Amino acid sequence: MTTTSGAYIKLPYTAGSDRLAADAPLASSDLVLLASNATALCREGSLRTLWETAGDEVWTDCTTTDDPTTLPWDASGVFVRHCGRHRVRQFGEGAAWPTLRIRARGRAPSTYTLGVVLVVQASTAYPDAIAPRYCVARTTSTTVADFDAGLPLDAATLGLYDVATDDGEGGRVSEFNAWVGAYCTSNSSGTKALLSTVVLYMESP
Amino acid sequence: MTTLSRIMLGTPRLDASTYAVGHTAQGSHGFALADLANDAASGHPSQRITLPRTTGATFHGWYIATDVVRLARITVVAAWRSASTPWVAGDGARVELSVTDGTATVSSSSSLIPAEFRATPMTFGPAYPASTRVSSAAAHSVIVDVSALAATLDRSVPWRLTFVVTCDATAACEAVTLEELPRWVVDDALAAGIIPTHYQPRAIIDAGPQSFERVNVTARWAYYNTPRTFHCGNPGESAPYVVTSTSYAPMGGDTDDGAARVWTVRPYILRGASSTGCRVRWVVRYRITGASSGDKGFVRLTTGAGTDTLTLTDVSGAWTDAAPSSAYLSTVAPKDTIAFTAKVDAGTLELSARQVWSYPA
Repeated sequence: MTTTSGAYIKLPYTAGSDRLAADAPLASSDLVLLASNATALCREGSLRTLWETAGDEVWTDCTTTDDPTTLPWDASGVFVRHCGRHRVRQFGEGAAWPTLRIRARGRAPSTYTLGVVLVVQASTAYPDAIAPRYCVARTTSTTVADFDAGLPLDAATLGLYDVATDDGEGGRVSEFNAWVGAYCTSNSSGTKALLSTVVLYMESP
Repeated sequence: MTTLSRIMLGTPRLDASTYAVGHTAQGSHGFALADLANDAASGHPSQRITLPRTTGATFHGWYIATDVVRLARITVVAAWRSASTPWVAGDGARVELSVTDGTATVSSSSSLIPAEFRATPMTFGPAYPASTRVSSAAAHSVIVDVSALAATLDRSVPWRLTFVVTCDATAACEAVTLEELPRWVVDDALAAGIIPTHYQPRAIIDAGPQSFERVNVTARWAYYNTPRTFHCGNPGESAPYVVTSTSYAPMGGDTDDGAARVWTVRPYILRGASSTGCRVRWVVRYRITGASSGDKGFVRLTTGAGTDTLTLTDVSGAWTDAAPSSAYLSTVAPKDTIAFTAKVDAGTLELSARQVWSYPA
């Protein structure tokens, strides 16, 4: 059965029009709308734009060409950024985790490929591009264009962070750390790709 | 005031059929609906401030404070600056934090600022042993009680946070992330929140302040008062975006191949698909130098829904916050794009920070 219409439907709230006010007859339709609204809010609340960065020129290839599992993260000519540490909740009322979407803009030199790798890990460690922790977006466009890839989150990619306060409020959040790395299959500083922008955001699973 | 713990954050699943006509109303129905509304209001706060990789600079970001969201987490990622400059033991990154509402300020020396970010801040070091920049990255997180800042600052206006980042010679600050945290307590004395245990099996549903009316108040508050940050552009004061053109042009530092950079955002899709489906507010921190009284600067935000312009009037040469303006993102697709152009009547216009966040209509 459906849990929400997917949209927030405004309910009257001012005196005289509030169908949920004291002494007003309680209609099932109003409760259905309340539940639908709150569920839609929780679903949308699970999804947000997390991080963005401007890029740079890129010209170094992976050790094995176009194989992101061999990206030389510390080499010159690659673009590498830590995307931060972000907390995450399951999508709405379901058990699935959101999908991370990395959306880049850039251009590759003619006949070559610009690739952007996203690696997600529970902790801030050397990025280990192994399944299910990474995805790669590629473009061969020679003019600046969008290209993207998605990475479904799962428990294997998440860590836990405990929050405690002096007055006793506290709990646990799920979180992840992420690295972004860009490479170019030209492997030549005389033939560079341009990575313009990279944005990381969550979308529904 | 009544409070209740939400030890395990979760979103109750309520099928539409739960409240169908003809079904028997049960105490659990009210309980679940209250818990669902609470989760919408305090379980998914979505503001963030993210700073770029830096070896030292001053950055700014804006935050909309409410009396419901209480905590935020600031994470600093420190690393070796590069393999060519081996790390010196003790080197690291520091972040000094202050907050202002434009009138009052919580300085970095205040006890309201976590000790790690006060004047003479703590040094966050890279991981050791390590031998490269990436292998040395280490994240350090600190909890901030943002609600405590309201003792000094006015919640009715956006707060601007200033992060002064300094790094020792062999260290870099890879990332600084501020993000809100959910609440693990429901407090019915706040603007949103209803105690689910008011709905007990076989108990009378009180038509007073803890009735379904309060559930709608809580859900409605969640719709209007849980802003999400769509874009946090932070070049910093030492490398701001620059324009000297008297007609709209991409800003230096924010262009590629001569065109303004285009940034993807995921809109707040709650009112259905529309070319003006997601209202936003946006603001910049700027300074104009080399201009005369009466001259102005202009920054234009272009989205899938159209354009909006901020008019900047302070030509004193000092860094200034613009008054926030409203615009729209398109929700026709699950994502939209934004881009910024600018012009100035005379002199040089620089932007050190800009931010776009949701502002539901």
